[in-house]
Parts: sequence; structure tokens; C-alpha cells
Amino acid sequence: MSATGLLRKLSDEQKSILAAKSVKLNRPADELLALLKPIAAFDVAAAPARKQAGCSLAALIVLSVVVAIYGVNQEGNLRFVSLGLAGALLVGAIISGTTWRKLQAADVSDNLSKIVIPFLTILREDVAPAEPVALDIDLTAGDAKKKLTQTINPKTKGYPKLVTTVYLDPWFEGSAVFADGTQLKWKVVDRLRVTKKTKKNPRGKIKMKTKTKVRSDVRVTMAFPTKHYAPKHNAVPGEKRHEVKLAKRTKGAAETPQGFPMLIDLIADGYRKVNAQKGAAR
Amino acid sequence: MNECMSKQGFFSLRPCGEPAATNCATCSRPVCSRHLSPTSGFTQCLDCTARGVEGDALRQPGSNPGVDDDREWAYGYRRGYYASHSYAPFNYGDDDSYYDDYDMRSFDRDLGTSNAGITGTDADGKPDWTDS
Ligand SMILES: [Zn+2]
Ligand SMILES: [Zn+2]
Repeated sequence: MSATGLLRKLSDEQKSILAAKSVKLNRPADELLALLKPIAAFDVAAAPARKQAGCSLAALIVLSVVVAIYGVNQEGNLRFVSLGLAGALLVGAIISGTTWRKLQAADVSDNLSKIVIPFLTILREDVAPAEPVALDIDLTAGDAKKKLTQTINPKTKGYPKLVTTVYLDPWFEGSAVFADGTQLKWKVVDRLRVTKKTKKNPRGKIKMKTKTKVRSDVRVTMAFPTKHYAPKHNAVPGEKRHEVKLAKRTKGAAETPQGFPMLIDLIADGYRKVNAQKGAAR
Repeated sequence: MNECMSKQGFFSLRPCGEPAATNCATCSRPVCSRHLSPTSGFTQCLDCTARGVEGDALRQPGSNPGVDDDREWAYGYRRGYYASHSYAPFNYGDDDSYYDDYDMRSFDRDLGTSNAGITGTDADGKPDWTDS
């Protein structure tokens, strides 16, 4: 289905999440997936559609101007027909422009489809069906103005010019209780470093290059019920829950966010820190 | 009616226990409708399907949200993950030779009190995560 078709099929709640681009939820994983998956599906379909609408907008404007100029220089019927055609092309451009703006306004971070949805799909396996999972997600762009923390601008005169901006994006946190009684809390904070390099070549032509690097910090806290799990290290006698804190940091390109494998690896590492409790109820 | 013999979970595994809808055409275990694979036309369990697609079981998640059957993806990913990350899930069910290639960490059956389910209620009847 087309992106605009998918957009039209969204519920009012889904549309309001798309508009706000951030949401706090506390529901069973099945319900969260039913709510968020259509938004992610729309976002994935909208990426090429947005590009297409942008291209046709530009092409139609250029074409209508060319036809209009041609028409003005003609006489009689030919003039009438070409000006009419220019008008029609302009209407087409307006329609493409509206579509483009609509899709642009509804753009959410790829983190939804690349991290939140797969992570919830795995979590759903370990959380009892009726148990809620708490989510707090910010899907606005990582380089949104409100996330800007630092502008490093070492050289303001002359070329090459190097401007680095740093953004802090604490975009994902949540908690859940697994069916085995283990409590889980997680938090993902991305740090974007955007480097803009402006060069001037010997002929005086100015060229700009932008590079974005993402550093993801993932923190996971797990509390294992000692009824089922025996800590391998640092056990406190008599504790009902054994808390384990884990953290991981990864640097990478913006196109391949590492949040999903990092979350899974950290939780798996947490489970590696405990043994099955002797005599635990099965 | 038989109970579904598929194991649910990722970090720890537990019996599904839902009423079985049919028997898997490949392993002939009874399985519920949720544990049947759509790509097999609902004739094969998700575990058997995961074995068949092992090669691309670790394909990038989220490539087709809402289009892929995500539970089917999860079972393929689970199988691939255990192998590639040498992860040994805890096992809250009976030993099942079907899962022999999973390195499962089992609980000591004989010492356990028999009825405390893992979704967990303490003696006072409260879910066991409220007691901290
Ligand atoms: Zn099977
Ligand atoms: Zn089942």
C-alpha cells in the first residue's frame, strides 16, 4: 500500500503519536506492537514516497515555468493551450507539494522501525501476555534544535572551515517485568556529532561536506528474584532480588543504529551473571 | 486436547501451554495457532521454520515492520542468537529432546516446590515482583 494510504488508515491515537513524535505508554507488549507497528510501517513506506513527491514537485515547477514562457511567446490557440497546460502543471506541483509536506511533517526517527519494534518483539516473548511494558520514546530527529548541546567552531575565518555540533538524544527508556520475575529497566542515549567541513578549491569553488557519527550509550538494570536465580558474584545474604547494572557504548554511522543488538546483548549478559537457584521452583 | 509444546521466551524459556491447534507437519509436536508459521501456510511450527531459515535468521530486524510476521522473525532470531552469541537460556519446562541443540540451563526439578508457577505468585498471593 502507498504511504499516503497507510497514513490514512492510522487511528486517531496513531496520528497523534505521529504528530507529537514522542509518547509515554504502559501497556501489554501485544497492544504496544499493534499500536506502533502501523506507524513504523508508514514511516518505512514514506521514505521513498517523500523523495518521489519532492522530485515531482521540483520537476513540475520547472516544467510549468518552461511551458508558460513558451506560451507567452505564442499567439492564438497555441498560446491559450500552452498557458492552460502550464496552469495544470502548476496544480500538479501544488498537489505534490501538499503530499510532500504531509509526509515530511509525519516523519519519525528510524529508531522506531530499527530498534523499538524489534526490541518489543523480543520482549514480548519474555513478558507474561497481560503484563504491561512501560515505554518513553522520543522519535524527533536526533539533530533537533532542542537536543543541541555544543557547537565547536575552532576556526571562523578562512578555509577550510570546520564546524562541529553535538546533540544529546535520550530517546528511549522503559521497564518491564519478565515472566520469570526478573525486573528490567533500560535507557538509550544517543550522542550525535555532526561535522560540517567547508572547503575552497584553488579555483575558488566552495564545497561542503557533512559527516554524522552516533555514539549510543545503553544502560540496563536488572533485578533477579533470588527465588529462581543465584548470583554468581556479589550476592547479599537474604536479598530477595539481586540487582545487576550493565552498560555499553558503541560508535557507528547514523544509518545503522546499534541500539537493538546492544539492548539484547546487555540483557543476555545480565542472565550470564546468575545461575539457576538450587531448589528453585520450576 | 494437547498442549502446545513450543517454548516461549528469549532469555529464559517456558512452556507455551496454550491448547494445541494442530501438529507440526515436520516435528509432529502439538502446537497452538500462535506458534504456527504463516510462511509455511500454518502447517509447520515456528521452531521448525526457524531451523529452515537459519542462514538468514539474523537478518536485520525491522526491515519490513508490519509486513513480516514478527513472531516468526523472533524465533529465527532467537535460534541464530543462541548459536552466534553462545547464549544458554534458562529452561523452566521439562527437558525436551527437540531443543537438544539449545544449551539450556535447567532448574533442579527434584528440589523444587511443585506448584509455584514462574509467572510467580508468592505465598501471600501477590505477584512476586511487588515484594521488593
Ligand atoms: Zn515443528
Ligand atoms: Zn504455543
